[in-house]
Amino acid sequence: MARASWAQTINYEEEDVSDMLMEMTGGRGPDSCVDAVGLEAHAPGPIHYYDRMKQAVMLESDRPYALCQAILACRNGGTVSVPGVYGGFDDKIPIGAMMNKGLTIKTGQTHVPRYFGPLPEHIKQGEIDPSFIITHRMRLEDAPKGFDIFTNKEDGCIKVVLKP
Amino acid sequence: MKANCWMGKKDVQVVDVPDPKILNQRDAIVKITATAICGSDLHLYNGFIPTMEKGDIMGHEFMGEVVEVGPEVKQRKVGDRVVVAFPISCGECFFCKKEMFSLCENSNPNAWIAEKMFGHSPAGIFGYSHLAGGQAEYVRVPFADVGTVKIENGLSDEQVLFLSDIFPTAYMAAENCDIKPGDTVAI
Repeated sequence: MARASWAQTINYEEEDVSDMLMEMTGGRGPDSCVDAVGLEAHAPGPIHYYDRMKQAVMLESDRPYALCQAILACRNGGTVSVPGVYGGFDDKIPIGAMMNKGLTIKTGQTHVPRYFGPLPEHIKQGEIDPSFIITHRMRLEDAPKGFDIFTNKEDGCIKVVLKP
Repeated sequence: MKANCWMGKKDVQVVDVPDPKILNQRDAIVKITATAICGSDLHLYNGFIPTMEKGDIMGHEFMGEVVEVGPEVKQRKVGDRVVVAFPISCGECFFCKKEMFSLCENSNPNAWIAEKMFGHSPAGIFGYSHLAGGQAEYVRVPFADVGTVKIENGLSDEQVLFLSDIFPTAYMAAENCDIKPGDTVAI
């Protein structure tokens, strides 16, 4: 789906994301990084199990792997945009990298009503149709199944819409 | 009415719950025609948000038809087709006036918990902090004039549903990158 929108994709399970981003940007790093993942990030290898273990014993509320990756990959002086939801207190965030690279971090839950003017207009003009992202349609009664396939990424599930 | 409720970690069930009622003069009741499951619902589902209680109604991406309005709702009327914003915003406080609607000072009934954890509380969100969510047949929408957008005929539910959350979320995330021509953005 990302490739269909002209994005170049990297599979973190098969490739080293940091190495690939450096290669794809001629060694400079991306101008900005978006952490759209938030607190339930998946990491390759032992780091993932470390984060999951810490969550299980309440030493850490979130798994901030995507945020760490974004901070480390972003070019000097770039921007890390964080719409991904976090809930609590996390350790091992590379604050030293953030500070010394002069990054700008911009975050927040979305100020949705701010966009109620321009975004419907884009849809009405045919410039974007967000429905492309829907992969599953179910009745409200099937919501538990929707949660199950969504969280386990089964059946190519990207977005579930429920109709009461 | 039927609603999808949080019953415990990795346990949601569609059960019968009371229909919502107008509680505040600025409320509207919306009959839901489409709703979606969000990635951040999974944080609740997977047990990472400790304030959930058994029976809380899930869901913050929804739209439908206005079926009842409180006496102080001026911009919406019965029969309007609306998409509802996922954060709840009063429209009158310091933050709402600055269009920082997800930081509303008046809409989180569990503000005292957020204040302890964060220093200050952000806005309440449907489907979190015991504010009834939209994976149901009906929902009470506080401050309905602020947090809803009226949809014209000719656009299907599926085309506009994501105005509730993920479309503006992606848009704001991109805006925050201050993208210039020629920039590379990693997502």
